[in-house]
Amino acid sequence: MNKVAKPMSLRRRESLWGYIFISPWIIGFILFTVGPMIASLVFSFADYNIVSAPTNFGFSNYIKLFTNDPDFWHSLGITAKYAVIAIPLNLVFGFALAFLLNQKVPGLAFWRTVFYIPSVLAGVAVAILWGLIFNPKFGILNWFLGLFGINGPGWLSSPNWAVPALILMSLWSVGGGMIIYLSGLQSIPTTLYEAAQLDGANGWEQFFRITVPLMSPVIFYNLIVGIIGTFQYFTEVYVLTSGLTGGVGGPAKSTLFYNVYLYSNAFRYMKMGYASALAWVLFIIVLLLTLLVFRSSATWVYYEGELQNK
Amino acid sequence: MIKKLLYPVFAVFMVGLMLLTACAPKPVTSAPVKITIFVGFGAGSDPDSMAALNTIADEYNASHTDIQVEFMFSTWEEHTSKFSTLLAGDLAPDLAFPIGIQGIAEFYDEWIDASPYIQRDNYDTSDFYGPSLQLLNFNDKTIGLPLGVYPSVTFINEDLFDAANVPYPPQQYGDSTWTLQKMTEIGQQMTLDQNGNNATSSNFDPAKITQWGWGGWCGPFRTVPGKFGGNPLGMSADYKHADMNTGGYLEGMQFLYDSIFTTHIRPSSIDEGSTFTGMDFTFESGKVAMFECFSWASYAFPNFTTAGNWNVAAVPAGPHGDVISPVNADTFAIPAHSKHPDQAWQVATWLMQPEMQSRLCGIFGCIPSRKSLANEWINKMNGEYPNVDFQAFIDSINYMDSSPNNESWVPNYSKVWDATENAMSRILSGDSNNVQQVMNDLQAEVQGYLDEYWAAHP
Repeated sequence: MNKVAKPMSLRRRESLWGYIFISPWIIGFILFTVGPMIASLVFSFADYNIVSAPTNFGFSNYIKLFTNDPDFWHSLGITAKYAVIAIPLNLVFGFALAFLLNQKVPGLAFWRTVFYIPSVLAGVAVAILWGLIFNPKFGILNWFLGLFGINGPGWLSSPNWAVPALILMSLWSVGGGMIIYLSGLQSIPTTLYEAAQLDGANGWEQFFRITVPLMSPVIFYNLIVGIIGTFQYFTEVYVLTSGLTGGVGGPAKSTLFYNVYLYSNAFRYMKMGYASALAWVLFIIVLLLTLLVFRSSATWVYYEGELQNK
Repeated sequence: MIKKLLYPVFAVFMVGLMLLTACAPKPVTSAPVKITIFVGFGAGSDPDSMAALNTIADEYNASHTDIQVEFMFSTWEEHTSKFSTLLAGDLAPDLAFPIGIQGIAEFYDEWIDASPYIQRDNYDTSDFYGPSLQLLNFNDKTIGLPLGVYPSVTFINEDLFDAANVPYPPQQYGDSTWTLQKMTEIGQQMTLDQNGNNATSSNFDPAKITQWGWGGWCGPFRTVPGKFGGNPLGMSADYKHADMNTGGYLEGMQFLYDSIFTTHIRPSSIDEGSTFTGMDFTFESGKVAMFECFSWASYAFPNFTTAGNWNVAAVPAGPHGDVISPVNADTFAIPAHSKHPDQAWQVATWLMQPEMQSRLCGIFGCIPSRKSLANEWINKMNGEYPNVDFQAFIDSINYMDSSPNNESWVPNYSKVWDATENAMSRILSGDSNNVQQVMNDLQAEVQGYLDEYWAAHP
């Protein structure tokens, strides 16, 4: 007697079609993200120069990285120094800009566009543009400083001023964060400000007691994104300083950021195994920093739902 | 029943037929062998050169039925990653051409020994300059045949010399008075501040220099130690011990420092990054009286001409009497992963014929490595620059640093290279004024790289 096949339930049929529709993404994710990640993890435990098969599997890359590679600590130090200054600056500037552009001023749409556009321009083109701005003799920045009698430094040519120049350049793209802050500011209920005014709160008190706490989730988000982006900083610094005297890493290795060092190991020194180890160490560092910020968020991030439930 | 079996049987029959067809032995064909030539290790990747090389490929293909060639281009900046990716993907090209000593060193283990082919064909190498052949003879193999050389000369701005009433340096070698010391003295006379005081004047202001007597050496730091009696590689002959904080390395770096901060004849890297923006060479500005560079700077000759009347002179002798004209050179190399090395050699020797060599050097800007082509090259260059003494370039070939060359292989090649250039950048930028300390740091760093290499290659 023939068995009759059980018809698929509607729920299972819908699930199946859902998986079919997202399968291109899943296949791409496995092939081009998960697969290479697993491969790089394997390579990080081997000597691998791309041309020949990986050999000498073990922990030597990681041991060398932590115990016998001054450039690892140097590049990490430069990246951390950049992050410690650039991230807070970008947070403050972005927030301040959004606050100003949340006021009723003439040409608001124009100003919001003007400040946002730089954040969508291509990295290489922006880097080249800033290279001209930072020119010690003919650049507009030193010309502007000269108006005040200040003899501008060598900027990218100077080992002492190359990183400050890059920090200054990072403010160019503050418009991306500004838009997110703006959205957050506009979602704060005006009733809170009205109630505070009735209670006699002045502008500063309203700002620090209402605006900042209710914007803390947005600040938290931008902080996480800033940490991730800053530790992966590569394009601009490579374009601007790798062609200068001293080669990759700029003058006197003053701009040997972590990712630049990783890139050098992978594609210049042909040490893809060691570069993979550097990549995974970077992943762990960024993960730990992100977890730290998440853990700390309980003390300074306020969600409107939490406040209402109290 | 039969109807039910008909379709499955037919399907199995068709699949079996297709499998048999696919697995059947292929008939012997006489399809030409395709030789891929990788261009990216040196010159040849600009649009004009690419068009010229593709024309050469068309000419070869039209005249040969057994081999067809195709050029594969890469920018110099990407050549390392592109070439290594091709090797990793089992898509190795059959020739790397043109390739210099540095390119050979970057992938040293990848190139095959060409000496069996040279001996098999009894290839006549008598027309090549001896030092250019020496460049390609390594400890364990010979790589390629010399296509072209790029010796160094001293470029001089005649207008600045005339304005200072200073005689031009000698254009011929053998003048024992033409030394780095003499060059420094001349350089100081032609280094001027904004008030017109030269560097020998008590009123000279080094913070306001508007004209420099010397633009430095345009090459990497490894071109320098030989001029001070040192080994360009800065290590022992067995490559196990670094020697970079004494002798030629130390003296050369000290000279570089003094030229910027003591005698003030050379601009610092910060000056170079500002005053000379947009220029490949400070000499293009018309504000530099002398500078030493390779003949591959010929692409900038039009800019030199715009800057003023210029000429060339011999390279000065170092303090210990060493006259070294640092050289770069082009050749071809056959990758070990090539699937057609015999045919690659055939194509390479076709490209190395005298008439092709002359034509290729016209594309790449090299001086042909054949003695018989020297006059043709001089006449061609004088056709464009009639007042320049191009014989000085040919004479410089006799003073090449051919063994070892400034680009020769060392362990952990790129790391040692970067470390040396970084040390130079610390001096050029003024980051450090303690030359001995900078060289001690370099010594320690490079020794670490050598130890690392030999630990992995016992």
